[in-house]
Amino acid sequence: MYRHGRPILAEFCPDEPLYLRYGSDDFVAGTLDVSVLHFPRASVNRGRLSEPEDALFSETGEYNGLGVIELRVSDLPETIAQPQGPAYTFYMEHTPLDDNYSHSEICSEQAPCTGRLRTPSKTVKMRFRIEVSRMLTAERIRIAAVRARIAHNPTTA
Amino acid sequence: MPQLAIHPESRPPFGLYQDFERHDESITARTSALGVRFDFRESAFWSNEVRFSDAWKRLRNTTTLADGWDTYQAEAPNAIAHDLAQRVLTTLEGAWLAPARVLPSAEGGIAISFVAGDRRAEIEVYNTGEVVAATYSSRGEPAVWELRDTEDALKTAIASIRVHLAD
Repeated sequence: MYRHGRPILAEFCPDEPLYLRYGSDDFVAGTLDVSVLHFPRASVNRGRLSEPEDALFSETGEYNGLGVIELRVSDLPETIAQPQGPAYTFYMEHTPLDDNYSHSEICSEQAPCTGRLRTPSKTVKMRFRIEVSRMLTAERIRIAAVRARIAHNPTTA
Repeated sequence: MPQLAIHPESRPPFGLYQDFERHDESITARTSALGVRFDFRESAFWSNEVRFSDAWKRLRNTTTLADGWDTYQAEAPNAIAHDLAQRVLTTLEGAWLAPARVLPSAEGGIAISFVAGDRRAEIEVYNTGEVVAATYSSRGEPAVWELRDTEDALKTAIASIRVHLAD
């Protein structure tokens, strides 16, 4: 889990799992709800360097009871084009933290590639989130959630 | 003094008695009351009322969130998003289209979502004041568009969502 000075590993294989925390109320009609997904700079744990349960690691136990779902690098749309405005490409970046070596982020840039992070419009982000949420069905659950992500979540209030 | 008694067989051929095998008023009245209550809960009106009541409650609950509520880096919905969400819900009530869920969005705002089998739709209002609508299903290209800040744009989006869910 801890980085201990280990290097950044830039390469991601297409079938590499990416682990994301979720709560018991985050599924709607069989897939993870779009509102759960954040973009860009969405944090995930890469499977090459961690196990699903590592996504729930916290020294304070704040993630106990949450679940873990598996996304794969190949699930990310390569490009999203729009009729008016630039197309965007999506890629993974390994961004280790001191207490989480596997920490990575889903990033985007304008096509053609400039090598710089570009935040897409809300409509492109929504399309990206819809595409990803379609992949996140119950079969992708690695650890089942037994509580909502926040104590005063609307479904438990 | 002779008492007036109506023989069960001579009762008029209408009323609750006709629906049940037994001529017992206490049973038939209770059964009928349960039936009426059941029918009421099954009605579209009642279902809509319940769903809107739930939606308003969920919207109120989003006011207590702090940044990072999603265990990642999501911003809590701010006053701009709350005002917009209230306007959307009010317009939806007028259009008689109840959302399936109202939840905070990890994008920083509030998500109002609709589900009908495989068909889904979203109206997301953001802390920035932007509003995006989307219709999609498990396959095919989603339709996503930004709403201008007008009542007409919202009503047009609601009409599109209604058609998509009913298809």
